[in-house]
Amino acid sequence: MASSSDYVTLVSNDGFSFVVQRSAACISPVIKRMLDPKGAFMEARDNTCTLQNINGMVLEKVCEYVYYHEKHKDARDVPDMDFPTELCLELLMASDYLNI
Amino acid sequence: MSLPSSPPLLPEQDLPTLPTFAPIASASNAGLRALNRKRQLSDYGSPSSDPPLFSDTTSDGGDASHYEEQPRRKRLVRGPWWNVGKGRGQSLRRSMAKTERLRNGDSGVWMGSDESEASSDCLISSQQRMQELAMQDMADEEMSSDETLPNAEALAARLVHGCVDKGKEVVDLSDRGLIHLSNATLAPLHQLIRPSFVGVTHPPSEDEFSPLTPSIQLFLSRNQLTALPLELFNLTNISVLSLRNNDLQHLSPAIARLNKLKELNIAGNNISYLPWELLELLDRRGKHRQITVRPNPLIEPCDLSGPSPLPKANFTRVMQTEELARCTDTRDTVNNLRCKYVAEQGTLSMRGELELRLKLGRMLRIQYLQEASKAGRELKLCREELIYLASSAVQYFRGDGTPLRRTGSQHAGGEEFAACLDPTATAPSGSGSASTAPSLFELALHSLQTNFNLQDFLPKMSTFPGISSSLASAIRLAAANTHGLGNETCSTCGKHFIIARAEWMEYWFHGWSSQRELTSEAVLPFLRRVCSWGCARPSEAGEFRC
Repeated sequence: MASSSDYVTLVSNDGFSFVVQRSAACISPVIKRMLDPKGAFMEARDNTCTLQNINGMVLEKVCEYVYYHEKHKDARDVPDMDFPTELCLELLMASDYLNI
Repeated sequence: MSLPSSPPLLPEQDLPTLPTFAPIASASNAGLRALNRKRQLSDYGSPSSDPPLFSDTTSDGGDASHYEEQPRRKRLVRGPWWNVGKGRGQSLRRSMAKTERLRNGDSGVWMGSDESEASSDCLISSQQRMQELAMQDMADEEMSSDETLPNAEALAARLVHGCVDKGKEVVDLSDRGLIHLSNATLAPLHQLIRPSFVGVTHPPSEDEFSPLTPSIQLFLSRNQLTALPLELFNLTNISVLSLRNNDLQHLSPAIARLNKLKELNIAGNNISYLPWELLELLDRRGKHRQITVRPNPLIEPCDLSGPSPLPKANFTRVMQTEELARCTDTRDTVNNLRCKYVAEQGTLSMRGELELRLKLGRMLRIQYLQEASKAGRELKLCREELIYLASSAVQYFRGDGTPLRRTGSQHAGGEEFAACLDPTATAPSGSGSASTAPSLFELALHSLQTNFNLQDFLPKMSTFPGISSSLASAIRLAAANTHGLGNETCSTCGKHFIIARAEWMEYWFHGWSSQRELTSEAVLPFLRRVCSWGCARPSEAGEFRC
């Protein structure tokens, strides 16, 4: 398998997998380190990250954010992203973990 | 002796039990005189010409035998009968109402008679009663505040109340030994209105239509305040604010909310840097503002003592205006000067660099003004120049607010905010580092802040698994912001943020154009905080404000 493809897979702890662009996913230093082709992690070989402490619903929002960030990187007036209120705290903890 | 030797006990509690009045008791024992003066219970129905006075003799402390020996002293009683003997301590109320010591109509026992004098009395006394009630409320408020606040502040609270009552716009709380000032003390100032024209002797003229919005002058000088109450920054009608000679460590960015401020004095505090928002206040745009900052232990970009390193003859010469107009690119001119200096004298010190930048800023400013006057635009100038000099190295923060380790060696010297030539040299590399988009952490925190009551959540936070210490402190900060002054504003894009992603110090020249050399008195440090790494763009050399 190619050591670095353009897309990577993020897997939640309840088994949902999301395929996202590598450039977008790598805004998180944690994911970037996991997928570093030079690193010897298993994730780098498979291009798949399993995030043990993030569930599917939250990971979906994280993926949404990752593209939102990619889109608004240099924009001046960035509209805020909306989340369902019940996910706020879990998203906060996920973002703290992923450092994004 | 069959008579009681002490006056009958008065009811102490609030319950409206009928006090045992001496007059009724005396009616049976004492002589005819008392009988004539006093109505008996059976008399109520019959009309009487007796003035409807309600008397209370119990306070005289005598037994019934006094009635025979000395002329009866009647004490007129104000208020309902169940208050008899209760309100002795309220001397304040008494003194306020002393001038109108009239019978109170609300005795509750006797009805008024037909006498015209008495009926007019009723009118007056009901008015008086209203006043009294108002006074009583006020007295109660003051008494309750006495118990909760320390002495100095209780006095301050009373002064504030006095000013609000009289409509006085000058609130002088200076020299009161205040250590702490609470929101409740300043809150009444919201109700302050300018006293309207009171005389109604002649028809109102045009001058009398003036706004009732006050321009409050608040003096808090010569106290020992270490922090300012949040309420102060909500009093947008403040026009003069003196915080001179206190123990303040820093000035809140919320000072920019006081947009009617004409005079601000923060001299003699322990302030080492100013909020970026104060630069906007200094940049007056036609408004006349007087802001006194020094003396304060403000930090300096570099050592500014001693004479200028630049040789006078060539470098600090005044440029003629024609010469300036000829300069097509001022930046080139200054660069040439720098090259010339390096060729002649060797490396340029930071001080020399700052002076060159000052020169550049001045030239650009004059050019701008010339262009503006040529174009016929109207300009409102301030007399002092405001020219950007230098920045310290930018300190970057991670998404959760923890500082990013600096790669440069600037941090080692202990001079955390020393000026440097390339402030963004320490910028973190990697994809998305210079983004202006808010972090997911910030977005989620903001959503949490707006949708939930964080104050309720805080005590339960420790029970949640997986909340790191940085996350906990971020949530605490968000909760404090909702109850305080709101979130901070990004100094670059103006967006509100909870977690600052970068901060640095900017040094601006604030002084007269006649000043040739840079002195430490003319340089002000401003702390800038921004919402994202992309916003971490320090001002450029030669930037100025008119």
